[in-house]
Amino acid sequence: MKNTKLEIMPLYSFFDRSGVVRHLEAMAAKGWLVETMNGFYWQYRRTEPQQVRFAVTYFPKASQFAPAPAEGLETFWDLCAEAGWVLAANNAQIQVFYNEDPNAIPMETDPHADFETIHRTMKKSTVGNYWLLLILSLLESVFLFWQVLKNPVDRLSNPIHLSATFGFIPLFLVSFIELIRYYRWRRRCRAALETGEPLPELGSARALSILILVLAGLQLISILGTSLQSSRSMALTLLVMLLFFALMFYLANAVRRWMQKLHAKSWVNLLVTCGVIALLCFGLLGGIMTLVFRTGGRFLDDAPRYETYEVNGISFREYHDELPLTVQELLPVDYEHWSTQLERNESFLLTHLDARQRSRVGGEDLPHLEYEIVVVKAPFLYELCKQDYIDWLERDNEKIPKQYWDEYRSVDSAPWGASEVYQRYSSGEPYDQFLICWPDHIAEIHFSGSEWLLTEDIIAAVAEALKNTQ
Amino acid sequence: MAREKFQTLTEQMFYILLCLRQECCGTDIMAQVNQLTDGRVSVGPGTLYNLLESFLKEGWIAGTKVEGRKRSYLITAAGRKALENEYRRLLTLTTDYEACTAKEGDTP
Repeated sequence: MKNTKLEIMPLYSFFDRSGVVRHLEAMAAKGWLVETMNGFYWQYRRTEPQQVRFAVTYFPKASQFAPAPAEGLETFWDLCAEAGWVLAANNAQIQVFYNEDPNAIPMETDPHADFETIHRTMKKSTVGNYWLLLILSLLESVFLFWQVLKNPVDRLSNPIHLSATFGFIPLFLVSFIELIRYYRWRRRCRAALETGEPLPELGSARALSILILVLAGLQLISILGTSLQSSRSMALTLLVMLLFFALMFYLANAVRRWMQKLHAKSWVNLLVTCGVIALLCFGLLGGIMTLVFRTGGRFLDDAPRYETYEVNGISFREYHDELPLTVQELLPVDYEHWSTQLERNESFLLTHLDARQRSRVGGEDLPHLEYEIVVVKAPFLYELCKQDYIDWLERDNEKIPKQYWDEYRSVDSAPWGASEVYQRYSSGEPYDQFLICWPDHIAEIHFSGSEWLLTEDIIAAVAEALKNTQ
Repeated sequence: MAREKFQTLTEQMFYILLCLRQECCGTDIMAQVNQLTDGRVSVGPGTLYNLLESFLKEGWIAGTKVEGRKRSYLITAAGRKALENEYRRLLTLTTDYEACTAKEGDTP
């Protein structure tokens, strides 16, 4: 029979005193007395089932980084013990006591002093943290949405980028809602004190906590699932990174506690703990960069997708991916060493394919084919994606005289069977590069390499292949 | 405090300051307040500790000795003034009440 019990991620706010007290009293009645409490788990030890009273109170001078125990905390514990209140668990400013005497003097008997203590505690830690989280998550969300507007096709078709883009919104919502709840509670407290009523409780936002946990879980599953689709090595790398972050959290926490026991000043503790995190992050980044440089990124591939060849001592890659459209389907070319490379990203909003077909460097002068296909699953993104290609081509125009501009000009769309077609003009001269728009497909194709002769048959074959690619 | 800080004293503040006219530690204060008020007013340990800290910060009491984890305090001149102000305020309330009820012919 186990003598300890863990509750993982208890969905109680430490400021929901009545909720926490009710829960701990119910657990004690079942024979479980709490002995450790933190944001991740609460641990209980087995005792005789007993009817005890619990009280949650706060010690504003304590903190996660202040020397432990904080100055005066032991005196406070002694005072509580005199009144029969025994310390059950504590976590920085949060102090949880129990009392076996049902008629014991309550821990707090003056609502004015009580409110002042809670207010000081929350102002020192929780409120500041929520404001910081609110500002950081807002800045990060704005930055990521700006990235989406700047580069919508790449950002919205990659599930990992997409998760990152929306990943900070739950944090923003949590901090925003918690701050609103706190300021409303503070106002209600002040009104209650004026009229002599008891202080209102600041309840736990359990539904919000559950929502955040579910969103975080879905995000993690989405990232791991996407990487697993890409390659097992990629998924493994992500898992290793997650384990590394867990280890980093554990180590940083151990260092923080050790510094507390050494009675280091708060700012020294904060500095050292942040330094350890920064060092480990740089270590991880350095390790990944070394691996990438040494293997050329091959460690992410389960099996090499390409073979290499050398020309004048320089190494080149020859890919053998299957493409939706090849040069051989359009022209009678007999060649053995085509490099066919296809990158595919798919999300619930967009599918994006980036295909290239080239002959070997230094070999015969042959026609090459480069094209991208975007399947727009969310119609409201269509114009944004189309504009992405136009803006990318025209990105440098403002820096150069108009006669040298790169631009897309509208041309006859009938041969392509499309609703709109644009052709690239550079310095006023047409290029064999087209942006073709079908109702839910956008394709950009560049016929490069040796001269192409774009006949009606070739255009029709290209259109047929690109608009039917999913 | 919701009210202007320490402009008026709560019962708990009043009795703690009253006890500290003689040197006391926290435990003594809890017992003395209970005894002084015949159990009508109790000061919880959380309230007591926080009020002592506030009074120290305000300069109304001073620490006199530390024996291990036990600390003793004594009221200062500023604390006596605050206590006296509160007494006078309560006296004014009482006098006003008596004057009003006497006019109506009531007995308090």
